[in-house]
Amino acid sequence: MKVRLKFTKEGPVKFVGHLDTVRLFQRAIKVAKIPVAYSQGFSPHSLIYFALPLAVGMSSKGEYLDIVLEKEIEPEWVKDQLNQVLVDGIRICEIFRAPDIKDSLMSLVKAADYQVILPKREFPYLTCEILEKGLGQQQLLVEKKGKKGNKEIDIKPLILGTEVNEEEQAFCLKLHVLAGSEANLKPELVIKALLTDVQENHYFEITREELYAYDKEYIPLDHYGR
Amino acid sequence: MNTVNLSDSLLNRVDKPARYIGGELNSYKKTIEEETIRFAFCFPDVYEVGMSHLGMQILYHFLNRREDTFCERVFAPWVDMEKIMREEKIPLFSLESHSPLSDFDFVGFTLQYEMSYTNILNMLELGGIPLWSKDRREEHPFVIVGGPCAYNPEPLANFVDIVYIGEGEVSYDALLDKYKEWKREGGSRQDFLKHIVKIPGIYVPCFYEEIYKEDGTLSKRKKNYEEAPDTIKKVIVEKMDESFYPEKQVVPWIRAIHDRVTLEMFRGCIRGCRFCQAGMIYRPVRQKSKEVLLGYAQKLLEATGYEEISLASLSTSDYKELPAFAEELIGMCNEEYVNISLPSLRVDAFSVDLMQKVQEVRKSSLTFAPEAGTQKMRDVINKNISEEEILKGCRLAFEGGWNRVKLYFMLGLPYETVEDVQGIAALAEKVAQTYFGVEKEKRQAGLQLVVSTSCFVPKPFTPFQWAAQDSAESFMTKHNLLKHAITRRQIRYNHHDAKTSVLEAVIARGDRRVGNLLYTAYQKGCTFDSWSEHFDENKWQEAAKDSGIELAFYAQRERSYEELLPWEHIDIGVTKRFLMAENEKAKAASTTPHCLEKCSGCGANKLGKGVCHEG
Repeated sequence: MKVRLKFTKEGPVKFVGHLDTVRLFQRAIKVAKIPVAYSQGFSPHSLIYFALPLAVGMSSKGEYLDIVLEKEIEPEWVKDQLNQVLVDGIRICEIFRAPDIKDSLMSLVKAADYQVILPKREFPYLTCEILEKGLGQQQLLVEKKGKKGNKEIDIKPLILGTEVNEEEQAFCLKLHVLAGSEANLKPELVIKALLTDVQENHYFEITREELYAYDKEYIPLDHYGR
Repeated sequence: MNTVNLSDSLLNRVDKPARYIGGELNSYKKTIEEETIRFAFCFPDVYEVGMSHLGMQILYHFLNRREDTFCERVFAPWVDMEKIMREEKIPLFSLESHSPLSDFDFVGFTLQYEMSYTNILNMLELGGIPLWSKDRREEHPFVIVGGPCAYNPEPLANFVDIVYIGEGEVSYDALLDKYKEWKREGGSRQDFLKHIVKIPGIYVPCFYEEIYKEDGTLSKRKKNYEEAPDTIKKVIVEKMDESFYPEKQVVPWIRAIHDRVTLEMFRGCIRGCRFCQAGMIYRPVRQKSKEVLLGYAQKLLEATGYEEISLASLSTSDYKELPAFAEELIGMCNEEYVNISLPSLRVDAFSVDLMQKVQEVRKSSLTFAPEAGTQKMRDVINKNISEEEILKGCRLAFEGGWNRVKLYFMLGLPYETVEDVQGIAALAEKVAQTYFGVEKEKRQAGLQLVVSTSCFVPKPFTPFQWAAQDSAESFMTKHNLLKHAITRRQIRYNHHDAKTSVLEAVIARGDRRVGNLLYTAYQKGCTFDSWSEHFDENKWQEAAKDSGIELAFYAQRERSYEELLPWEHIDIGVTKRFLMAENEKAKAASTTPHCLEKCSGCGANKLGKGVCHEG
């Protein structure tokens, strides 16, 4: 059987990169004595699959992971066992039997929600209008680093929806964007397009809020196939 | 409690920020009370290096088993992080509670290699702790050092308050209990230091002074506190099976150099290679039983989820119950999809067979360390292996499907001649011929032979402690000689940097004056000297000039047996008489049997433990 887990990655542990997070889960699964299935062949490894790598330094409230189990087990038990051994900042919040379809978790991902917090002390000149005006343009051009040098691309078609709010200390930008292996928009690129003078040492905080599959409409992964 | 605020914006600016966050699986979280003894275990290198170190894992869990003590880890920040810390005035902090280093009761450094010493000074400074022990006041932590390089503590003597000679499990409890008592009763720093001189293995350098002769050699060691012992005996664990060993390991966030369960099989080595410091200072050999080892293997794998286990010892092949132990361990690990790593094997039929069993597929490269190219040299260093055995081992390996072999040698060993250097190339050539001598169907295509040479560094407490080291120029001549002697395209040659090795020799056999060299080099900006991209030979040369330290005096001068050596107040069990006898035998290229064949009377038997007292 295959179980799908939704988990958070918040606090300092967000500085642990994707590959290290994969290893962290592989080890936690062993420590928690979850009967995980192993690949066949010469160097067997446990069968776990992540939905979409998360950048170093980015928090998330909606990460997903599939674990293939070698036998039938109550999913809630897996969740409890794992939460007992997982490190601070990583919490399994949901678990369910993955729909038994061929699609890999990674190929299901079509869109994502991000929240970007732009502190006023870092961007003292910023207003809601600047952000909204930028987002309202026909095209949103940004220079993107590619293998063959930089090129300018229009990221507007990759944006599904946006919302701008002003808070006391910061501006909060919510982004609903395409994500996954076919088309993927990094939220940093949106910021770069909107605030052309943004520099490396300008600090802003990004949280991934949710990942979506697509079946006639965008469906949060924890609602998909359940 | 003060804590250091590591903001996200800061961590976003550094490489591998996970080095600095703490909170890994099996790390400790403790509430810090007023009376908690706070111990900072410092490794003077970056996180990935320090987290690979077995001694830290042992002592971390050993100290934390005490309810009244909280041991936390501290590593050297990488240069990018250090720059930000200095700019933003962030003190060096512990990973567990993010406390500034200056808040601890004890700041302990493990001395694994000499070229990490400038990092110790840097970490003290970043931690807001005065570098010289004489400048520390009541509010400052006690700086304590231990580990293999602590057996000659003198270069660091003026920077540290306490030196621990021997194995940590033995005397730390007594030391911490004394500390509690001192804190309760109140008293000066001096009072505490005076209280602990009677604890076995404890050396307090400030109670001694070095007096020099006009020729620069040591005249005598003066005591300025009567109660301080004349010699400090190393302390060792008596019964390995009953001794503390951690049942879990902190699992690093990012891939450490050695990222796996480490199972310590035994301490000490029966072999007695004459260049090897570890082989002398850890005597006598004390083994753990196979049952105890298997029990720890099981527990450690369960607690860490690691996919690899490594057997740690100075010479795995010499473990008494190796065949039975290996068989059971392989059984256990196959069930759990765990790989076994077997360092320090001798080249024989059993080893090749064993490696075959643990590496069913994808054969990694095989490493042999003949150490010297000719039989004469191998006899000089008492590396009891013949060319026939080496080639036979290689043949077995080639027949077993290995095609990548690494051969380790040392250059600049005492009594080495040009022929001996060329002998390295000749031996490598014979290994290559052995490969081509194996039937084509039996061997894996594409031989890759790597010959690697390090530069011999004479170390204290070895039969070669009196020897002169080669000069950097001589090392480089030998490098060139070898480079040209190795012509076959399947053989690649690489070598260690000679200049680092010269400084290593200066510090390894240094006295207290060498502390000034360290200080000056550090003031000139030297840190991370063991990282070739950071080592700055010119700065060290300038520092030598400025501090009045003649490098050749320490590295290239042959000492006489009569000379008082800076580390002679440390007693490792092995006697000076034995080391002298071994050095004389080296001159005659005569070998000494290992401990199991025959006791050679090294003196370690007076420690009353281990192999010397087994029937």
